[in-house]
Amino acid sequence: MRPHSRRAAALFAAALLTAALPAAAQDVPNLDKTVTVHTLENGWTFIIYERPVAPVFSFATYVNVGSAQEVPGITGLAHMFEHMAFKGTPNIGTRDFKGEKVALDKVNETYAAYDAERRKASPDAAKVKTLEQAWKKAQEDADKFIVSNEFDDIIDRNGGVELNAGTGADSTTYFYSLPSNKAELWAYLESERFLQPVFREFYKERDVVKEERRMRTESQPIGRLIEQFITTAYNAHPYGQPVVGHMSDLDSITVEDAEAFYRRYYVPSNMVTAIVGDVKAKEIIPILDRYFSRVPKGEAPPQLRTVEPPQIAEKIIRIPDPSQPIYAEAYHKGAATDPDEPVFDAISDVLSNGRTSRLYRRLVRDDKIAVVAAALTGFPGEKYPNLYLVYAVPAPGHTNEESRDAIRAELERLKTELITDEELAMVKTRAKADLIRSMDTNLGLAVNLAESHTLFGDWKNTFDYVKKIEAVTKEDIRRVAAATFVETNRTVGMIVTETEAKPDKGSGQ
Amino acid sequence: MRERKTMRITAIRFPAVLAFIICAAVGLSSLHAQVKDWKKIKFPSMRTFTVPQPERVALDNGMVVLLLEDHELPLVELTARIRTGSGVEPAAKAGLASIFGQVWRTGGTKTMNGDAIDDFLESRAAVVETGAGISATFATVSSLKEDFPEVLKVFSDILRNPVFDQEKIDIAVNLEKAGIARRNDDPTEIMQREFDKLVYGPDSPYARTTEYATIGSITRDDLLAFHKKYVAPNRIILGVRGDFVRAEMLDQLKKTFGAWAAGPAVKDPPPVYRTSATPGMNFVRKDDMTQSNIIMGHLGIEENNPDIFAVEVLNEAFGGSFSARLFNNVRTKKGLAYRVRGGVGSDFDHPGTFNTFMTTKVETTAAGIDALLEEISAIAGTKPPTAEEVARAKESILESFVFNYDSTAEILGQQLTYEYYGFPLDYLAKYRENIEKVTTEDVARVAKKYIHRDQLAMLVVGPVKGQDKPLDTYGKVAAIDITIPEPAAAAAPAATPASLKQGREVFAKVVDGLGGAGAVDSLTALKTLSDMTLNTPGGQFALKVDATFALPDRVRQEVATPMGQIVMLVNGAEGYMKQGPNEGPLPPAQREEILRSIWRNPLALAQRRDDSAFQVQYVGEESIEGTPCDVLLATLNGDTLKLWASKADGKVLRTQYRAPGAMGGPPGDHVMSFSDFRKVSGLTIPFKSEGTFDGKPQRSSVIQEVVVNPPVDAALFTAPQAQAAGGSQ
Repeated sequence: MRPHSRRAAALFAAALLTAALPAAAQDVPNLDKTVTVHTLENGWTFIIYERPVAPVFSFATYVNVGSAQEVPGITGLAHMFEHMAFKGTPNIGTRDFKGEKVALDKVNETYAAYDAERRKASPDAAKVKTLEQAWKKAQEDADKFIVSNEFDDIIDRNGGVELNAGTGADSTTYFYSLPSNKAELWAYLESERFLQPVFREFYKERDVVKEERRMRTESQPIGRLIEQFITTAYNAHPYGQPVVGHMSDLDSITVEDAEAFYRRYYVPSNMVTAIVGDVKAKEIIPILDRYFSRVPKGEAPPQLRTVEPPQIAEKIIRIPDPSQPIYAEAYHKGAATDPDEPVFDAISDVLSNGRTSRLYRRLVRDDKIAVVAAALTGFPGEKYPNLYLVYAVPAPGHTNEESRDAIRAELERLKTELITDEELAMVKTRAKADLIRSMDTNLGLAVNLAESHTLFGDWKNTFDYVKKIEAVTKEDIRRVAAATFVETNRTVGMIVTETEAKPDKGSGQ
Repeated sequence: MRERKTMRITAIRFPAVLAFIICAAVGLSSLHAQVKDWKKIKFPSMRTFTVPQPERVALDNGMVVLLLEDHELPLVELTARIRTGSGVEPAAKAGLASIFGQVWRTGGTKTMNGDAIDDFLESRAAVVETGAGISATFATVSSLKEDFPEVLKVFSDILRNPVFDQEKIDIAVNLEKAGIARRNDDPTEIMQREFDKLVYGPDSPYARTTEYATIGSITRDDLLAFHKKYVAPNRIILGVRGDFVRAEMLDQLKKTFGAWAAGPAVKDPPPVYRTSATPGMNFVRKDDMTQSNIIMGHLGIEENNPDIFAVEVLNEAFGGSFSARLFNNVRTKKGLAYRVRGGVGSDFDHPGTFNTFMTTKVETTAAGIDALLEEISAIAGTKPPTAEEVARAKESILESFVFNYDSTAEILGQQLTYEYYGFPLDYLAKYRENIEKVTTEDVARVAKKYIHRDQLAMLVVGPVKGQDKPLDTYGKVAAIDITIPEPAAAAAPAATPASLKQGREVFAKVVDGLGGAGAVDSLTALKTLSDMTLNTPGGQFALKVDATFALPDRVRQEVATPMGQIVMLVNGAEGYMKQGPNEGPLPPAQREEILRSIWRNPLALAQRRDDSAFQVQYVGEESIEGTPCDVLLATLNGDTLKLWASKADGKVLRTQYRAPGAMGGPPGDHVMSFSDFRKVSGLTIPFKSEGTFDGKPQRSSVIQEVVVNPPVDAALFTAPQAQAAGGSQ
């Protein structure tokens, strides 16, 4: 190896140092020297993890807003804004923003008039039609200014890959990967899109989101089950709302709704960006300062006030459906930041991880009543008190009830007997190995770090969490199981096969 | 979540330089104070680095080993590709490779059973998995560094000495059967599968489905034979990457596999497929959706086609990103779809498919089809790719090229693929050059050459109700029946005292379900008026059936058909039929069949429960659409009837028997399903019945009126005296 310069030698040494660190084979690599946290005055936090394996980097911007921040009338808005964050800015995606702005205002005016008329108790049909046409024409006029998909195009032409975003109950995450010499371009684009997003093609995109709902929720049996399940499990807390939104809300949300939502929640103190790969903190920090400081500080967003009250009665839903049976049951539990969360992870490992797991051995191997049986924590989100979910896919000719009985028997065992030493050891070994395996990709690491830092206030939790798993005892597992897997705390949902014709799915809009 | 753009993964190799060289970066524009317009940002040149090259070693027994060090994490990962797959399994045993792929890992070895292997691996957080594809079969290992030597021993044992324990076969078969049972639940799965059948042909290994019959035919001996024939070191390429020293790892692998004798050369014929799809519209009706899934296309190209580079650029411009034509026009501009994709597909050893697909609400099905057809016509001729589109597509591919080799996992994986398919060593270096050489004319040329509007096999999966235009707007529509062929009726197991006893016990519940012994035994006659729909080769007919049967052996049936009335009657040993001017005695075979049809009615069957000629045995449990049932096999005078009786209330939900089809012809499986049970004079009678013959819907019947024990005139069952005696019928 012949370094070309002192600087290069230092870089190479840093790379070697990262790789050479593990002291014992099982230990997780020490990252204190390669991770830097940098918070701007406006509150935006950046986590930079130097990992120069190849001349590329990935980032993830984790915004601490999800569908749990929505209320009836605007469900689906967090996800809708995620779509809007790709539509560009006054400088990207338009031929002439001055002219476009006027046209966009006209779109909103004409929509408001059309919407007001059609929602009247007795709308004038002819007037509705005229107003609708005026709105459509306004959209066509506004579209003339558009440079279509320019934001995506810039990233694409500059070698960006894995360009996407995701919205869940807790958060909205934006990510992609770029060659590392494009870091400044990334800083410009990522700061611009949150500094001054333009809500162009809003109503067209609203149609796209409706299609997404039809695809994910309405036209797939598991989608139907999940939506019915969460809306049943939650009486009060907004975890009971579907992330993609109810169809009638999707038909009603406006640009003004989206702008208000964005102003309230997309404030820098609510955002964490993790950058992982071939970047150097010293070089990128000045760039971050210059581009991201432009975003005004804003006000701290409101905290969610509603708490789901304790469930006092078992809830059961049976969905008649032409597809094959699926069985699920879930129990309320605390948030991911609760001290008992590692115990739930341990329970999932024992119940559900691999062919040695209790659910697999009982339902799939021995009784052969199911072909898949699994358990997981953190459904549908983890920031707030959430659900512990157990589900099974019955084998042909077998019933939901058989899976239910077998699952209940296994949960009872956890409540009354201690797990074995071998099982506990396996939990800990696998937790460590999983962490090591998760450090293999820039993008995965970026998402983990940003999420960890937001949820726990410290990115180190991604690596320290393993220590919490190490501390879990057999008694902890029994205690937590006994407190959680209780009939009155349970929601049950299943697909029951029936081939009679049924009413139209969804609202057919 | 927006749809991801997936990057094309190509196998690559670099010139063999092993150092990790870093060049000094040109100064960043961090000195500038102003925030820039993105167009004005200057990029430092990409720092060059030389991609680590795996070392290739061929062992004496023919096994090829590829080694790549990676010291970042204390892991070792191994991937083996074995030269076999479902492409070589016999059609009658479709699913053999898949079962093999699963049970190879789970079924245990000569020295360690499957559960012991699971315990061993999982307690070390180590993973060994096997699986079969069409052209290749895989075996993978992931282990923490310190456990690798032990794990390698177990891996080698699995590779060489699997025993395919029957219990593990049963679990794998169960999983396959579940897959079959559920294959119509997801519309995208239906769309993809049926489209592949349209393009490659339903019998091609690239498209065919496994069925209960084919899965049922797979034996343990089949799996052992498959292993013996195909798993040999000369058919294996082994790639290893991770925290080791090359020389030591090579040593370890030689010690483990070096003495394994090479196997014989096996040359299977390549998998067959159609050379062209049949153009036209096809439809799968699926009502539980609010969208239509639309796909259209034909065969694509192979990877070794010299046009592959121009095609890659074409695909990028056509459907490869958010600013490609499909996304931009169909999703962004028209708002018709969330998901829309398309491109000329390629594969290494057979052609991929050209296709475009989208999902859209039912009300815009035709609008969606029109949009896709418009894009296809445009790119292939009326609006060929522009210089700007081509430049943009090339830029996208070239600027992101580094992601082909941004991890050792990716580098090794590609090397394995190339080694397996015999692609040249310098493919990566050449690949980049070849993309750079592609011109606008090239892209227009290949669009025209490989995309054909007039050859499209088109398929829509979704509901009928709500479509904006009928599908026959696009030509004659072929309806595709995706009904899953039922498992073949198992041969009746020999009756045992236990199965007979249980059979009687369950049958007693059946009698209760019919209304109880009292009501059943007091039945002497039954008259029904029904509306029936009958499917025949000549079309579908709506009929009115007026039937009376008087136990034990008299039947009269009057059927009102569009062609006139048919009258049929049987009176014990005599039978008669009249249709229009034709009349005469019933042929004995037909008369006997009608007599059998009496006792196949559970009401009549129940009356015979104490006959010495009657026997009923319990054969198992099965659920009918979620209702758990006991399954019985009843025999009477040598005839057999299978019954499904609800466990909850004894109602007979289904019967099955073998008999000639409704129009005569060879015997097949009749399955009758019953519903809409109502109480009539103490008896529980299903008012709706549906019959299939060999899996195909044949008739459905709804009772309009029923009379229990109507007064019966003997004349009903007597042939008219006025007929010509001794008619030659």
